[in-house]
Amino acid sequence: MARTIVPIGPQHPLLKEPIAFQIVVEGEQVTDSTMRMGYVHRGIERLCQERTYIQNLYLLERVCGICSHVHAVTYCRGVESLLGLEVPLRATYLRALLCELERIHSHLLWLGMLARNIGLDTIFMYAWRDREIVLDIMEALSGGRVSHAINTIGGVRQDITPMQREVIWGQLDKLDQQVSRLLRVVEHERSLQARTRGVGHLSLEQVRRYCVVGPIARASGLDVDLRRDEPRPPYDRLNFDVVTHTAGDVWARTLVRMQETLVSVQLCREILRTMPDGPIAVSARRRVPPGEAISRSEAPRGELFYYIRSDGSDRPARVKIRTPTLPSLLSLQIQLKAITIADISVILSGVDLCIACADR
Amino acid sequence: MSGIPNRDAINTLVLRLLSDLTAGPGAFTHTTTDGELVIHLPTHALRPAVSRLIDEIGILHLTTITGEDLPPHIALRYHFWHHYGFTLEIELPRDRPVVASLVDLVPGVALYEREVHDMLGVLFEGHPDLRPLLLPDEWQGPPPLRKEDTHG
Amino acid sequence: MSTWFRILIFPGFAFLFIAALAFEWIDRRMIARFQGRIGPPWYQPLADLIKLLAKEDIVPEGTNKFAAAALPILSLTAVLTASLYVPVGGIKGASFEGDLIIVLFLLSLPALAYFLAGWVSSSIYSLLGGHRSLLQYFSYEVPFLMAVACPAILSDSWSITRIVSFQAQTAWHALMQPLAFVLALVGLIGKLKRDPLDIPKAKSEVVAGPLTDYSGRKLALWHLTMTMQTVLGIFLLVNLFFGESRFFNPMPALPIFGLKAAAILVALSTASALYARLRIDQLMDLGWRILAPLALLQMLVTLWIAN
Repeated sequence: MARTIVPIGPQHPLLKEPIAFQIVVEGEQVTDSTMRMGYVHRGIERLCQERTYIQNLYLLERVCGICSHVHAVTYCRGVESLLGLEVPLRATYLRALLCELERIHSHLLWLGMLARNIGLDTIFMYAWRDREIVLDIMEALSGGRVSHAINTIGGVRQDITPMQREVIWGQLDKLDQQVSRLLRVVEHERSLQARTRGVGHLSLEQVRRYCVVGPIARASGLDVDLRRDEPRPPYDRLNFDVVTHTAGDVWARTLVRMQETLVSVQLCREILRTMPDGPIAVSARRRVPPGEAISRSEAPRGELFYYIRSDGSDRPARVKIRTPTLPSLLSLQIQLKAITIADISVILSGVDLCIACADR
Repeated sequence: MSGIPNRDAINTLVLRLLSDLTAGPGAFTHTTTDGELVIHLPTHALRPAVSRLIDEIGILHLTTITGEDLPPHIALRYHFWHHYGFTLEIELPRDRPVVASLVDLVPGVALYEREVHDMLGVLFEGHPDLRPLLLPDEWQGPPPLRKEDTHG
Repeated sequence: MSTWFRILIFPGFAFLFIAALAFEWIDRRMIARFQGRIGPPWYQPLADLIKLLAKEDIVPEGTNKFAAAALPILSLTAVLTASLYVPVGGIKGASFEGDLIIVLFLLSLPALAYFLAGWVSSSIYSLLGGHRSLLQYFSYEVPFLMAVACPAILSDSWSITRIVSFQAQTAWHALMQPLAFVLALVGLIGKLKRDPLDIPKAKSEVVAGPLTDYSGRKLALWHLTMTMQTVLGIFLLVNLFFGESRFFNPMPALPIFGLKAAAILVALSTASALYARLRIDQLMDLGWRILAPLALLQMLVTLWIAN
């Protein structure tokens, strides 16, 4: 068959957000691809310069839907660093609890999308049904299933009551059971493995040279996790494993994310168990002294980076955001070569794209 | 967790490796509010510095490039990570912002250079593909992160 | 029964239409239960059909208008004609020596029309889907035909009615030639383009395959063809492999036939719910390296038994 260009996006059943790939195929073989992003670019970095620090908090939560909380946390940490504030320990525990819940939510959502895109709707339905448990917990904690608005500069706005704690503890048990079962199904499901093994391979060296982060990097053997590598409360007091695999294909990424989900459930339990008492916020001034702050977090997709420069007023002079999806998009250049059309959906699902994050 | 050096050790290592480049005019260091090292270099020293670091330390993780319009200069901050973060900062003249691309040394820099080109109009010599990354193809105005842009 | 009644009402077109809707409902309901959902109400397939008929029929520029209109009618006609020769619960339409061959031929026409529908369409997805549907056709059709020929060889007849009555004197072909039954079932999944073999219309890869650009009445006709083909394929398999039996004939023949058909439908739904979609190269590998040699083996065994 002659050389044709198959457009994937900006609208395509495979994508949940708009991004355009032009895939050059010959028959069923992919020979090349180009990418165009920016369909959801909202100019957030520029908008930040025209809003106060507290207004930016609500803006930056909306960079992404799935990882909104970790964006807010990373931003707050940067501003708190500029203000010289020490956030109360209880607030860091509450922030971490929601971060881990968000990680579980993101990975379950991702598993559903991967399963749906390879025709295994059953696992999609199970994963999203289990995701409802997480959404209910998050709604109990913050009032919102996906968007929480629970952070403020200096801490968090809402505490957790002992009764909520009991209820959430029970739901975490249920979640543990369901996710373990899901992991067992995924591990033994041969048709899933047949579609994902050996597909989208990235070697450790490629991952390091292209500065790939997150579960994709860990699936190729790179042992990096900012929760452990940049220890801050509460992670410096919690025990958890960093999951890595060496195969570097979409199957390895599936295993890494699923096992990470179980680790996160454990972390949630430990956070609830060891949360200290105390205030949940300290007050913060409006005007931030001049300076620069860099804050990093381990978002569900990898390293989230914020650089904030203050010039002494109540508005930031520069806010720079680097989301983990950007290096993942770059890694697609390597992955979308010498494959078949059927593998495109597996690879695009495997990199867990969050285009709103990438475009800002 | 043994075997991971502390921040001072990493900072000392980086400064030592770049000592001849930081000795020249236009070079100085400072730290951010939370103690991360920022090394200011003259523009021509950027590539040798990165090259030296890669030779001595190994493959470097570049997180991103922050560009800021500070008339009469444009500041570019290259944020690296090696157990701890450190930044290399250069200043480009605003009316002729040209710098050598790092894409052959650090392939991961490709999209970040494109974004700085889009948002600030900086030209990265040697970059194979400086097409717009975030802005639409029909964008007419000046680069959005430049201070002269006073739309809305 | 008058001929017209048999053609138009039972076991002809009207019955086939109602059976198609019923089977689609059972299928969707079963898959939903597997997935922890409830599933649609009984009138959903009918409602979907009516909705499709009421929708705007758009033919994009570049698509051959005549072909786009003729192909679904051709497919539906082929399926309806084939239904005349497939007995339902012992009540037969027409039959003659060799009607199995006619049925198999007619049931392969929709696959060709499906490919052509993609070929005459102007969308790249349709072209890709059509390309895949042909590759898939070659992978499943050969094992399917060989598997379906085995009961005919053993029964020493190419008439479906005679194959059914042969089983009344011996035993179900599914028991005598189980391998043939399994191969025919897999072949049927490929023929009906059901998950895990819905490769030509994989939503995440080729949007909707050859039918991406079809809408309104044409799509309704295609949909009807697919569902009727499902029913007919299942009925065929029931006749060939689970025909009349001298050991097991308590009820009147028609409800028993319905139960057997439902059992095969349950097997198909289970396969749909449990497996991920195959890649086209994996299907071709499966078809030629495993299914075809097994079918050949079964045929040789059958020939040896028959002699």
